[in-house]
Amino acid sequence: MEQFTAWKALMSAGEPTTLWQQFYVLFYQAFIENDRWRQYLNGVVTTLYVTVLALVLGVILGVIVAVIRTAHDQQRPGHRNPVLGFVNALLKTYVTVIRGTPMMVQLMIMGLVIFASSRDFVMVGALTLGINSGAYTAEIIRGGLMSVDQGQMEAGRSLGMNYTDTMRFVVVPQAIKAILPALGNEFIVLLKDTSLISVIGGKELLYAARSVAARNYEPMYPYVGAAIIYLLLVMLFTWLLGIFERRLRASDRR
Amino acid sequence: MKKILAMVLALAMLLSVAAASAELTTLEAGKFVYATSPDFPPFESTDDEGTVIGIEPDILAIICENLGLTAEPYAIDFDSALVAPGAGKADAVVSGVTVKEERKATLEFTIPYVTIVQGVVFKSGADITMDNLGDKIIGVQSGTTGQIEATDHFGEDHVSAYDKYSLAFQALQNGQIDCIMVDDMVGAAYVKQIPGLEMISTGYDPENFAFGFAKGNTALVDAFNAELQKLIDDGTIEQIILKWNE
Repeated sequence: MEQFTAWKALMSAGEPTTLWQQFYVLFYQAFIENDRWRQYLNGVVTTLYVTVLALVLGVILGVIVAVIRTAHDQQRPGHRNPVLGFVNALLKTYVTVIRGTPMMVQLMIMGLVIFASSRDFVMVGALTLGINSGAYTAEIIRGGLMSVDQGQMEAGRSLGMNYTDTMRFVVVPQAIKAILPALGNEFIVLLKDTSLISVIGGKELLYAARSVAARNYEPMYPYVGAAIIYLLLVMLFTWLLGIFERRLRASDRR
Repeated sequence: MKKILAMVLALAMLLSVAAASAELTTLEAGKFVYATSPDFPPFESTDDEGTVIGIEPDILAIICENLGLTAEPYAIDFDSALVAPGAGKADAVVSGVTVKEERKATLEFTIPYVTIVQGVVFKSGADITMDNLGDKIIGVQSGTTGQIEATDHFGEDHVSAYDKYSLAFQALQNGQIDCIMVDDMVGAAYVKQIPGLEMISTGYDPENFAFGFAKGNTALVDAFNAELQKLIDDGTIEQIILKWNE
């Protein structure tokens, strides 16, 4: 602390300082002074909280949308269900609108127009990200379901299983393995996109870094620090996904 | 008569040569690029064509003309504008920058040309006084002295920082924040534009505005200081401020 004050005084006075002294002062004021690491920690907690909430919402939305859309697309010719057709058109609109507009615009609209009276910016952010992620996840899962050969469904049905059971025990387990890498990609994008909620006042990791940078007029250490934290989080995420993928592949005869 | 005209012309040429040979180094020769966050009326905002207008662009236009430079705005968020000169992305930051001791470590300031205090803007009729601000959510623009004062007095949990003051004012109208801490001249400009708002003064220490240059370009700062002093002395700056506050 005393060392920091002394060296900082030297630096502001424009006296010559060693590289080590500069590093110490800039690092100290970016992370340690006034317990600033707490701001980053709170930011990380919010970032993870938003990611998990959005992930759960996105997967639920994605599965529902994908199953309904696949069911519609794989109907036998001449046996079209009009209700399914209507719901399919609705879901298609949802996917088109969400994928066709930038994330930041969606956040602004949700934060300042639709939920104009809400003060829980973090929840609004998580909801927006979840709805956004749902559209992408839906297309990934739909791709997986469509990729399973039609013969699998026919075999299941001819053995006397109904549609739901065939989906649950035959098609979905095969689809999950195929889509896991793409899904992991989407989760990583989601984690990094949480940084956008700072535009509507959500206090996540980037918000903390920006506040500290604005305090010290020194952008390098807070931003690089935040980047390293994001990188570590994504690496942790990738590692967990890798374990999951390996477990699923355990039964493969390769 | 002709002789006098010739002499005046000669003098003018001599002066212009003298001005040009003063060798003011800027990032791009002949241009003065200034970083600014143009959502800070009356100091700077944008008109319908997207041109940056306001008190500071007007002052800069006069100074730059006298120095033989062309002023060119570099519009960016305020917290990024503050570090732009140090990063070599602009010659100076001209964005209603308050002279603060901590900022002097990275910026070289001109002489101040205007003084303001922090104000608090809220919806008319809301129960806001300087005593109960500690229970409220205060909106600010990221990186401003408003953010620093608000967090210093009321803590991080009571402050919500936005990219732009225009966004903060939107949130205030939505009721997502209770009030906004902002320089009083700027607050007054927003109060005039948006019906149903009012402003009180914080009574904090007055703040001086100046232009912030990158460290080391003393010749440019000296030239600006001389020009600024002239404009302060002959009342031009006062006139410009009055014009924009009408």
